[in-house]
Amino acid sequence: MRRNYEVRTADSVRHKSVILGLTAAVLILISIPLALSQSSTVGWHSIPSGVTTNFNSVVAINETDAWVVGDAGTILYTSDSGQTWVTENSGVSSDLLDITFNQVPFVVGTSGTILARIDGVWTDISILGGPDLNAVSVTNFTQLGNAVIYVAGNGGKIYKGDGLAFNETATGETTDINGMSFYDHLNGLAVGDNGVILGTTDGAVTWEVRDTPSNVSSTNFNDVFFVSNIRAYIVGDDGVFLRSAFQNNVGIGYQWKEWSTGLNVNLHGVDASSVNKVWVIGDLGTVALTKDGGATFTSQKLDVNTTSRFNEISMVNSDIGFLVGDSSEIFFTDTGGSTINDKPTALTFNSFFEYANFASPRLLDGLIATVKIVVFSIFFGFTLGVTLAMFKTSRLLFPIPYGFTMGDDNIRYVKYYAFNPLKIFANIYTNLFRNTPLLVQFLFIHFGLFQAGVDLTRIFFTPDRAFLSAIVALSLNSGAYQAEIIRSGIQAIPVGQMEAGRSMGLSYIQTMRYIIMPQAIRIVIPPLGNEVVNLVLNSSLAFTIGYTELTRQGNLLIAITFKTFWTWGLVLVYYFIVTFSLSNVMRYIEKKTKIPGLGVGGEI
Amino acid sequence: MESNVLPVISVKNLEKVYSGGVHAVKGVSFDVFPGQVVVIIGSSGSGKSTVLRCINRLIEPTAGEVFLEDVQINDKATDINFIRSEIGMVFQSFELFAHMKILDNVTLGLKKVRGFSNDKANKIALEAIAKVDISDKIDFYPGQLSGGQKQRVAIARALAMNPKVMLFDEPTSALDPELIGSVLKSIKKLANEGMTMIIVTHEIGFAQEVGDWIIYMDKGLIVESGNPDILANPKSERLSQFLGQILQVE
Repeated sequence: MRRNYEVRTADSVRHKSVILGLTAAVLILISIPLALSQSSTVGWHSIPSGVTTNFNSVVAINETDAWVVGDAGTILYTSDSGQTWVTENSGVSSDLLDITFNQVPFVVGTSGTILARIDGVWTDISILGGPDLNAVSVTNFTQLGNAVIYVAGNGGKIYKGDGLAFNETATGETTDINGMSFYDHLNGLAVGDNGVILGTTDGAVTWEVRDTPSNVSSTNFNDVFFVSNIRAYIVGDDGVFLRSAFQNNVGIGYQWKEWSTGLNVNLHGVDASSVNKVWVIGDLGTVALTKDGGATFTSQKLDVNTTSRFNEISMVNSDIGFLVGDSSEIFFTDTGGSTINDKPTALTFNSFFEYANFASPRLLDGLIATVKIVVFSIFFGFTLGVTLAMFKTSRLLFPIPYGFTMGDDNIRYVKYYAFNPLKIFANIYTNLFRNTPLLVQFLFIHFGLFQAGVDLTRIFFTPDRAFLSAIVALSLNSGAYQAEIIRSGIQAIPVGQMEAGRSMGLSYIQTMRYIIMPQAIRIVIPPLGNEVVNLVLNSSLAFTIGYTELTRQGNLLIAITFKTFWTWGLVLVYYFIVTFSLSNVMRYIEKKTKIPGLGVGGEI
Repeated sequence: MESNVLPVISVKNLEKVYSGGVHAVKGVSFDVFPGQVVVIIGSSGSGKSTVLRCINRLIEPTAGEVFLEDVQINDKATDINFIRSEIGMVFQSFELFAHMKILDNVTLGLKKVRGFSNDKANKIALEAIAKVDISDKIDFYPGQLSGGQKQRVAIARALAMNPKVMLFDEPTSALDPELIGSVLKSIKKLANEGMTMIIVTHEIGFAQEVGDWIIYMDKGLIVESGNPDILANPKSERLSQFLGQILQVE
């Protein structure tokens, strides 16, 4: 191998140094944002307390101050975002399980333990002989004896007290209560093992058993958070996440809907900084965030990986919060736990069948939505198509004289222009809809007309505007194509058929109805079949106006699974099933309506 | 001719100019009396089919008057659908409704125009079908019939409406020679029963046999008309030329 050596001149040396300088500048420029973003590549920072125990709960009261409670009477306090921790004297040795804050912190624990930090000293206000208490909620406090304190624990026990005395409330339950949350002094929710959801609207005078979604009826619920008067969240074992469905006049917490977290671990804590921004934590060091009320979750990163179980999370606001867990784990964030590299909690599937099992119900929902708009659009499109085809072949004429013509007998005759408004309307219509993109028609009808004040939901009887827009757009578009197809069928019928009908005394409309149309439609069944299949395929454009049909369901699936090949493959199969069945239905209709002795049908 | 009897059809100075300027009928007048069979002959383009279609206004006459008894057919105020139901028409190409069975073809007008019940319509239709000897085909579709059978169904369809007059537009032109006989037989049978008819045909022999009055048309005009004898002894040169050509072909 030969190599050419360059003779270095002063010029080339200068040239090299310029390049080096530029390279260095670029590197520095690149490294600045890298260095700046260093802090946000990890969402949660481990902040060791130096105390070795399991931490069960945490409450953060502002950007710097927080209390942590744990086993064997442990209480820690920080006033500098966790950089230093002070061990406080709880005066008890029972395991402390939950902490809350209202003017002062309150703690509950095993064996009926209840503590309140009065004037800087933890004061024991325990229920003697009480059960293990898992949750505490305080809706009012001025001093002991003038407070509203709720505590909940094993055996379905919930107590209400003023700080001096506690009275058991009638829950009617015997399963362990694991979490409790009050929105105000009247409205509260409590959750427990075996799918128990209790609600009160009268300050725990009475508790009602609320409906649990059937598929999670035996799941253990571990925590509940009553965010606002329109929203509450529940977490439980096996990654279960429930969101309250809001009902007018009834309030919330009566109906719950399960949302997929994509997490396959037991969840132990939930907290929210706003109605839709919710953190969940659980086993194996799991912490995840949803910003859309549970539709999609994002896993959050820890700077020190752990497999410990996380027990509680407390967010001061959307940025700052603490979370604690077993094996002395305490983490802090000032970025809401988010990093620039966060990924959705993509579900893992071991096989295609496992995935198909997961995807099928969602795709089936989409399929049903697709079939719904297709059925309506076929009906309205066909009606429109027949009407327009009748317009196009109509004989309604307003003769307008416009000149003269010379007859074969050398006499001049007036020439007429056959003005047919129906035909002109139909022609303009079909030309408009066949010569513009369907996608733009969708956008125009859904967004354009809406801005111009055409609200379809006021005309029809459903509030689902995207659904209506999709039907209107598909029907209007398909009507134009079907009109052309049916017109060709009508024009294929010999004029003698019309003469025969009319000579019998039938009116024009009767002749069309009983003689021309039945034959014309039979002729055009095959091209109509094509158009119907096209309509199904075109219905996927409803995706762009936010109608959750099959294609959009596929897209949503990919957002949580990242399985593009499997998802789109399945979507294709689902579309194929619909269109293939439709073509067969059309073929069956064609066969059924075939006129014996008419048309070449392969008999010869 | 019986001048004191009201003609069933009366055509007076009928003219038709098509929109392209073709002057197809140039002042044609004739009367058709009850029970009379009028046969119109003439070469292609002579205007005979146009005259026939003007009678039930399938073609709108440009000028002149057409009467069914005392009702002017080409008057805007006339209920043309009712008039047409009183005038039966049989076409060259049969024009049966291919999607309907034979019986339904015949009952359609009875049900939808006359408003008869199913039973009544079926009874009348079966009688008409029996007259043309195809009672065994009532459950067939037109596509399953031969040309002669189709044309007899078409005759039955017109006949079932009990019309005052029947128009035949070259009823045998689309048929094979061996099938013509059955159709002509059916028409002859109707003539013998006293049905008033106007027949446009090329069958000179048939015209002679069945016709009471022969009209020869050429270039939109009636050149010669009279008893069937004129076919044997034409007075005008054009008719004899025409007959000569036809006989040559046959």
